[in-house]
Amino acid sequence: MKATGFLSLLILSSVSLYGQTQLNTIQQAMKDELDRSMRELKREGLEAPMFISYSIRDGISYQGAATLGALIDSDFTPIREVTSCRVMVGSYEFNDESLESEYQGMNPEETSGQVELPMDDDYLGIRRTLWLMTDNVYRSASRQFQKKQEMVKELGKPLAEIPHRSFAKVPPSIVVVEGKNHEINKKELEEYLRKVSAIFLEYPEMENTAVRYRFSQGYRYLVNSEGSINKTPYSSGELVITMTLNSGNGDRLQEEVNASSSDTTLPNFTDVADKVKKKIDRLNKIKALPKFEDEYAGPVLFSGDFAPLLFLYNLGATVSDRNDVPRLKGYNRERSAPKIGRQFFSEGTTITAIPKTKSFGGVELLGSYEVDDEGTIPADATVLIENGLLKELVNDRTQVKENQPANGLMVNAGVFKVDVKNGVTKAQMKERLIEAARKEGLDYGIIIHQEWSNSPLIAIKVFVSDGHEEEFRQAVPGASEQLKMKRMLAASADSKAINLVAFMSDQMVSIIAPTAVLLEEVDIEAEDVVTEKHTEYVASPLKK
Amino acid sequence: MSVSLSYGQASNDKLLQTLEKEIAREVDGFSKHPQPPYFIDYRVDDIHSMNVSASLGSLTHSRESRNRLYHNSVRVGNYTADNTKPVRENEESFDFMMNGSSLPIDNSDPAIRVELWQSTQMLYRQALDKYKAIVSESNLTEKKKQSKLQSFSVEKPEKYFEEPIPENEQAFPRKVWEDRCREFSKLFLNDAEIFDGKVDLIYSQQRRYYVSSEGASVVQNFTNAYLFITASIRTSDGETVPLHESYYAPALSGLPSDEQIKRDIQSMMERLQKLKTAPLADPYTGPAILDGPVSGVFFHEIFGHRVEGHRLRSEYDGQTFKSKVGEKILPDNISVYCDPTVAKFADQYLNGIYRYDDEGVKSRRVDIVEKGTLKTFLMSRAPLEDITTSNGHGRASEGMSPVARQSNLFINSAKTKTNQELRNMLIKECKRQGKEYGYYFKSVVGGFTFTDRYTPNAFNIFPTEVYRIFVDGRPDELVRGVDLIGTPLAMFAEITAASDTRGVFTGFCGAESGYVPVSAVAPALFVRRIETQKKPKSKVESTLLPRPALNK
Repeated sequence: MKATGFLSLLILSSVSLYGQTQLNTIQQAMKDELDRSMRELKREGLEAPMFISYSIRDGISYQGAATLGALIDSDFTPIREVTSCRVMVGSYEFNDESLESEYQGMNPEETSGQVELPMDDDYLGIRRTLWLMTDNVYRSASRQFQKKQEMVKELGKPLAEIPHRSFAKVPPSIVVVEGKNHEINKKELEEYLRKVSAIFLEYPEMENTAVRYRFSQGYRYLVNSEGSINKTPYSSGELVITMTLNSGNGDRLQEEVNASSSDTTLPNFTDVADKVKKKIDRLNKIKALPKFEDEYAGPVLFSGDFAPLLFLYNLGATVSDRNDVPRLKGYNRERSAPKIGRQFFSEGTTITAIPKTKSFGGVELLGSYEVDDEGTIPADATVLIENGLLKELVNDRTQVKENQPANGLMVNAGVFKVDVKNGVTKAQMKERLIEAARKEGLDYGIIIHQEWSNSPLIAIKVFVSDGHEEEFRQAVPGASEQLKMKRMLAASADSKAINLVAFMSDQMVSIIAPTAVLLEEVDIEAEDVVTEKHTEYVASPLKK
Repeated sequence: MSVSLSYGQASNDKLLQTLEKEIAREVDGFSKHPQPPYFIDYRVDDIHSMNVSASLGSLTHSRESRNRLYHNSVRVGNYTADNTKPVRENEESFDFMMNGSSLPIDNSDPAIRVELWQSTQMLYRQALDKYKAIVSESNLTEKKKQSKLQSFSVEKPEKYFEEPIPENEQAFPRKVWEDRCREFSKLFLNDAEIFDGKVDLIYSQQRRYYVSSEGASVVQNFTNAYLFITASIRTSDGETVPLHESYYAPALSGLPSDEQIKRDIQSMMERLQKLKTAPLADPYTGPAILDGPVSGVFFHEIFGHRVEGHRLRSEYDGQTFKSKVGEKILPDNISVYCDPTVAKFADQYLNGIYRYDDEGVKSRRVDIVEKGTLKTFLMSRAPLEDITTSNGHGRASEGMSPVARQSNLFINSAKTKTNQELRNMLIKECKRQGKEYGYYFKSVVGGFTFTDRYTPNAFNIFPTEVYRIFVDGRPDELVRGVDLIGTPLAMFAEITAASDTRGVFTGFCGAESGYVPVSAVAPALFVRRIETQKKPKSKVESTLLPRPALNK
């Protein structure tokens, strides 16, 4: 899919430009209610708020699905919701979020007594929703702050000696980005879904085939009491074509054709039909493969999408700032943040966050953003891993340690680029695999290939004796602990970009990474598949 | 509802043709196997719906959607004993054959048939495995210990076809209702103390198909318009008190006029203001009058759910009335029946109406209690020992397996009293019991009950407007925070008199087979002794700042 320039106007600044920014009804309502709350909100005997921020998502989403040439559903859903209402009491150094309490988590409740946000651009209606939310969150925050002050007092130690969270100061940001309004032609989309799904009418052996398309677009708004005003567009579309092939032995092989874009452009029908056909051929090929039944421990070469995803998962686990502090009473679930300077990736690996980069090698990077969810503008490039060593964490505004500045980076959104020194060609990778297997006295080394994150894995045995390859299905790598990237023997010189929906989030994240990696020691075992005997009592209606 | 009794028109209905073609093909295909299913059915709900909500003058939701959901059942064995039996006697069988999934909304023959075929194959595999286990277990069980309950009743396969809703009636006036909902909900802004004032409109046009391997073929239309109004106020002690108003009509045009709705909202706001300062009631036991809608819900919960036949098959159910057929269970003057063929009572529409139930059985009036004597139960196709056929009350929400459910529940009293006479009786009884006051339950939002034998067999009704009637002639006093509780048999024994007018409660009933529309038509009842408990607290503190206003 082609990358599109959808930013028609961009104002980026790190200084307050309140007066110069033209606000729409939503922003004006957010700002006015925030100003009123900062000015007047105070509970007797308790402190007034020291910080308030509101975030609203305003947009529309379309979802449609079809199977075998027929539409299953096709609907628009308008979305306007308060995604965050944060009211903090105390100071930047110590506030209601600074400590874990025995009974409550970090953030106060913000749901009770809530009134839905109007879909209409109703200035007072929007303010009413924010007013009630702010009231609830403030009540909870002010009580929390009082309790936490008492907890500190009880300990009788100076604050500096108690592990606590502080709130980072960042310059106010005015980020106003006008996005393009992508036309969603429902009729055309429905026809496309019907047409693509009808491809499967020729393949009666395929089960549970479906073509789904989802597109959402709109704006994210943020206003905070420090003077930040953000309006950033979002738009993303995803076409997912799923298919299942019964292996005949009770297990089912699933494949997927997937295409994403920031606009409503859909892949042309001929290309999609070709891709679907290739996937079907591939499933049939996999179906015919023998099952992997060995127990293997040794060097493994990961290729296809598996390799970039390995980098991404390892990176997410490594660079998260976590922000846990020990509870002063009760059960502790503290996990400390990874240590800066420690080795997490193999020597020669450098990973840089480039959140504002829009495309790579003709692929749109859908994780790209201008400003984070707290209004912090990230740098164009931040090196997180340098030569295998952790150099910087992704930090939001909650800090546990000094020298942990908010850098506007997130693990569940953004763009990350992996560079490796001395990348090699695919052929050289295979040679390295054979060499490593030989060194360990093995008859063969293994390549694990996965086309796409939801595709079946193929295990390819590469024999040390003559380099010939044998393919197997139903093989899986062992525990994730083994897939850590510290002991990487080689990585391919070529890279690819992948977009995927971040874990536990509706945001996209993009990774640019080598297409193959060779790890020194990984267990590969037979997949434990629950099989269901599959007798076809009545033939498919598609079979003539 | 446009009705055609000519089944010949059915040949033009593409979806019906597809369903019939596929079921015939399945029957034919399975016939080549040694243990074919003896029964297959498909039920499809084609739903076009509109949902509009507004709060305090602003639209908060507006959506139109179209979808098709289907339910499929496959039975292996025979009518006497099939795969739905428990594997071991006295065990509970939990297979409701629930497999509601989406079906394409296009009338595409191959896409629809492939979906149905996949479902039938899957259900058959499960049914066959279970049936084999049942047969094998039953060979190990003594004959006398084996259940005498039939698995499935034998019914006449019905043919019925309604023409589709004409195209010119299919368009939804969404914009009109967006404006109306805004306008209605805006009225609540006139009272700064009302913090939530919502208006929700749900309108649907539904076409339900039912075909079975026995030859049943039923197609009927349902159109339903519901308007719900809810508003809440904070009382002086911080409690949140809501009031609800709801309207039902089979068509949007049948809903009350704008003027009527506005008057009702105005009245609701006035009552909310009264509730704001109304005293909180303490738990009470003593005489009470339940107004028509309240006694309707009361009967639905304490009685209706206990005469739903399928429950009485289970050893886990309380089976309150199972052995009481032919016995007096209510005062002589009280009769109770369910009638899904009645569309209206007085000027109010009833929503528990249907021509055929969700198992394709023709709907009919069922006289459950005649002059105080229990006559029968509400039956789906799950028979009881002595009631072996359905009486058209097998119901389910879209995609769920049907069980016996209520429809329009009517409570009649042969001997009636005027409302004033009921009031006099209440005061007299209060004096006899040494009570300062009795209760008058005027309106209700719903209730629930447990019928199994492992939890207390109790019910709970949620009134919204409750008054104290004082014996010394003081004016009636509105109170809040009261729930009506009790156990069914004890409560029945206390029903003393019924009024000469009846009220209607229209709503949805949730149970094993999902939510189904139900109505209850009942007289006001004078009950010698009821019990109340405090409502759970729902506290929202007063806001620190006033409601935002322009320039503030």
